[in-house]
Parts: sequence; structure tokens; C-alpha cells
Amino acid sequence: MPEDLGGRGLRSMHDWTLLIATLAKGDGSAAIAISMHLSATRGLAALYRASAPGSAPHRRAEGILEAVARGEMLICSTTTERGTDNLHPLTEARRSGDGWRLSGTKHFVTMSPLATHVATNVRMRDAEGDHIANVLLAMDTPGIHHGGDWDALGMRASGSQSLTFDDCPVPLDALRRIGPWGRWSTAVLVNRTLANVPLVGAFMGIAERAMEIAVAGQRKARARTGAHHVLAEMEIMLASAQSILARLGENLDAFMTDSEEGRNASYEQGHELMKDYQSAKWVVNRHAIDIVSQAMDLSGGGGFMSGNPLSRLYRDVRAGPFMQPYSPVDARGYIGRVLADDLPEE
Amino acid sequence: MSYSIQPRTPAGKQLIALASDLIGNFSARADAADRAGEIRPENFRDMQRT
Repeated sequence: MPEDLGGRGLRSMHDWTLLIATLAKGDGSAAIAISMHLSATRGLAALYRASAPGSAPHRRAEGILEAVARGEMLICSTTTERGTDNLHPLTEARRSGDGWRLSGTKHFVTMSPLATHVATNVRMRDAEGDHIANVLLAMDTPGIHHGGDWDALGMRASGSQSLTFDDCPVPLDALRRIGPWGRWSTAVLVNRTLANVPLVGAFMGIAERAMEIAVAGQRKARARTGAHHVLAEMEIMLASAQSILARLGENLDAFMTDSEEGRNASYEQGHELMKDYQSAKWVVNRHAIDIVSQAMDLSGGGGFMSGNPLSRLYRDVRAGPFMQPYSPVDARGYIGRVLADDLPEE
Repeated sequence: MSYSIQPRTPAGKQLIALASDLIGNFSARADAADRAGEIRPENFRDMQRT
């Protein structure tokens, strides 16, 4: 939130990621939920700074950010749909009368039970082609239905239910085109990376909390034979994960300064950014899962009990790998293609 | 020496200090919220208040 609109002016991706990691030490569900809101306000703040004062985009961003600062708006954001990926949203806005009509279903709409608004990506077609567009809608828009279907292994308190858009009316100027449907573009590469990197921080925070519990437990009970080795391995994995995530944050901050918040980035830079994000995500998620698992080992049977925080961390940390774009199944192929200068177009 | 990540900006330092103060409340609510499978509005009120 810009300082002139009542915020604290945080712009560092490094510090935003650390903020989410800090919150996740208390509750991973709350951390990923608020990160969804912050990904929307970050984009709006960037639009506010980049647009001419008094222009329509500037006024629109200003109005929304002021409402957020007053505590009147909480925004959930989602791109996930069943059976497709971020580049091929099937939720579609079709022209109707003076505006658009939006239909489709989004899944994993984190924080949606509490949100006043939803930001999402949709397909839109016009005379100029087939596009991905962003839209921000009030949750009381006619035709938005809450699925009430969030019942998951972990992140159970994140409110990540599905949302259905059933012929929702959308004002003509509410859609913002960001790139071609079905193809990577610089804007989509940059925006997806910036929105998702802080989520990696949540899994770092979960690992740090598990490490705290493990160390405290071993200090209290006098570490038994073998425990020192387990603690050491956990520490090495944590240091590796912290190091790559901190470096990614530093690089993102430099990128944001050099490219005027991504506006002057090239397509190649967009892929380079996404590649580095995927590498960090791979390392952090794998190590976080292993750290929590080894903390469970150290706890004996205690960590297996449902009342033990480790059992929650063990389930929550498994939400990291499948976060889009690129699960572990797909990430290596993507990273390798970027390295080979065979930039994926879709 | 530790590899733990430290904030790099004044705004980050302020916000992360505030977030650190919320860990206790979040943690106290987390297990019950997990069992119920329900998002806790108190966490978001805490964040908005800070």
C-alpha cells in the first residue's frame, strides 16, 4: 500500500516473502490467505504508481486501495481451474449488451469465505483476438456462488473453496487484458512470478516452525543417540532453503528497480525470472517437507497425535509443490528448456 | 551466524516486527481452525488492525 494512501509503502519482494514466512510460523493457512490479498493490492499499487494522476486507471487503483486501507475491502485472488492451467483459463467473459457476462468455475479460491472481492483471470475474445484478462468483482455480484467445498488434507483453515460465476454481469471497462490466451507473455510471466513467490515463503515459515519445535524438544529431553545428526541435517536443509529464497528476493528487488516494476522487462527476462522462481520453489518445498518430516521423527509418537502442532505442519507443508505454475512433475522440463534457450510459448 | 532471512528495507522491518507479534495469536487459533476446517476471521481482523 503506497504511503500517500495510508500504507507503509512496502515494495520489496524479499521482505514481502519474509512477511509471509513470519505469519506462517503462526498459521500457514492465514499466511497463504493474506498473500492472495497482497498479490492483488501489489498489482494495484504498481498501476497507481505507473499511471498518470487523474487518469482513469490511476483513479480506479486509488479508489480501491483507499477502500483497502479503510478496511472495507479484502480481496481473494485465484487463477486455478480444474483440468486446465494458468495460460488457458476456461472461465470466459462474453460480450452482452453494454458489458460482459462471466461464466465458469475457479478452484482453490483461498480466503473467499471472508473476502469482499475476488480478482481472477478469465478468457475474453474480441475483434483483436483471444486474450487472458484480469477482472475484480465484488463478491455480492449476482451469479457468484460459494462452493462451500473446502475439505482438504492440509491448509484446512485457508477457506480455499471453489467459486462459480454463473452469467455474472461485468461492466465493460472492468476487464484488463494482460496477454494472449494460451501463450506466455512478458506480463503474465512477471505477474505470476511476483504473485506466487511470497507463497513459497509460507512453506519456509512452516519449516522454520517445525525446526523450532524440534530443537526445543531435543534441548528439553536431552537429545538421544542419532538426534544430533538429524538436527544437523535439518539445519543444513533449512540453511539451503533460506539462502536460495533470500537470494531470489534480492534478485526480484533488483529486477523491479531495473525494469520499472516489470514494465520494461523483455520476454526473455520474464522466462529467466520464472525459471529462478521455479528453482527456488523446488528447493524450498522439498526441504520444507523433509524438515517437517524429520521433526516428526524426532518427536516420536507425539507428533503423530492430532493435537500436536507438528501433525498440522506435516499436512500443511504438502500444499507447496502443487501450487501453480509448474508442479514438480513439470518444473524440470520448464527450467531445462529455458536454460537451453528453447523458451516455452505455452 | 545464522542463515535466517532478515528484512532489507525499513518498511519490511516494521511490518515483519508487527507480523512477529501476531504469531502467538495465530498459533493459538490454528489447531482448532484446522480441526474445524474453517477460516478464522479473527486473524484477518488482527492483521487489519495492525
